[in-house]
Amino acid sequence: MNGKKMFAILAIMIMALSIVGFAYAHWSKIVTVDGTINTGRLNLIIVSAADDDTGIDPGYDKDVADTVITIDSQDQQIAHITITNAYPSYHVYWHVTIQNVGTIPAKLKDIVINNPNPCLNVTAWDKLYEQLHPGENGDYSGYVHVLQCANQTATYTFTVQFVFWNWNEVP
Amino acid sequence: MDTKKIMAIFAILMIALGIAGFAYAHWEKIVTIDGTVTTGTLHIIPSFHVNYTEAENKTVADIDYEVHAEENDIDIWFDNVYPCLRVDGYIDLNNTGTIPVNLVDIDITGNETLHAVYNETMKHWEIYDGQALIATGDYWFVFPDGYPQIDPGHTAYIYFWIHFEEGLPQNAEYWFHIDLTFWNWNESPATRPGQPS
Repeated sequence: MNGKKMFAILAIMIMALSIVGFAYAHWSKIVTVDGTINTGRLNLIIVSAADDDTGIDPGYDKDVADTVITIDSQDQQIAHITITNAYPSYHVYWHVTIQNVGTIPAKLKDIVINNPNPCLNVTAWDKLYEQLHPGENGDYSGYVHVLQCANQTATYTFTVQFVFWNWNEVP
Repeated sequence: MDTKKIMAIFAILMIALGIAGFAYAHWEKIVTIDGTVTTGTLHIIPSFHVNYTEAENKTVADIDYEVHAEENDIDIWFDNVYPCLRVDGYIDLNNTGTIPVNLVDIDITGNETLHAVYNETMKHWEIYDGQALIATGDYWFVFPDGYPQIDPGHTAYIYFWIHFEEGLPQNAEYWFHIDLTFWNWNESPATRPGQPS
């Protein structure tokens, strides 16, 4: 093999290798963004409950009916009001303190009263559309009034629901 | 794809998500107040007690009563009575309910021929049948909780005496009816039935 042939073979090999190298041997660097999202928690509980009937019936001079309001021992999102020995015109105010124990602000979206008894007047109010920041307490009140048409030895039930939403979605 | 197209798609996605989020993605927490109201009862049961002594320890007159507790009613009869018989007694009113009551009205009716006149000098009532004086008597209240109230479990009393007079006719029959109206104490009208003597 003469010198020219050897040179031609070497040149062809170098060109072939350079082409192969261009295809496979480039360097790379990947930049990655890892994402983690921890959502907040909307949670409210009743921290205290009270009523105005502490002995003598409100507005009267005798202790006849009795009202007791307690926080449910299993679920602090529920309070129970029990009124016994009520009579026409008996009325009582009740109060609950609700604490925002979640991590995002809450806003009172609605108060839903379910009272199918025409002889019982149940109302609730306070701070509709107002905000409770995490850790903050809010006081909410209601009123129960036994009307003239109430029967003797009767049992009437009702519920009052305070509906809270995450603050940013309540108009 | 040019930058404007990418921006447009991104903006549309954001709006769609925003709408979807507003409609479905709010968080909710409900705090519930459960209420139970039980009402009391208003119930008065009357009873009756009499005391009378007949001459020579005879048993001539028959004075007794029958209570109908459910109707809050009491029947009293004075049978075979005669002039100069005096009867003392009382009606007791037992509040067997759970609510204080007030006596708000007393309505007494009887034979149309009867009428009563209060004698201010003698401090008693005189009962006439036409022009004939047939009886004298009086009544008064003893309400331990203060007239006209009776608390649950307590008893109030209406005491009376009646003396049959010489004008009492033989073989006559008289009837009377007394309605005592009670209301739950907190709604009683301001006006109260009078308390004679």
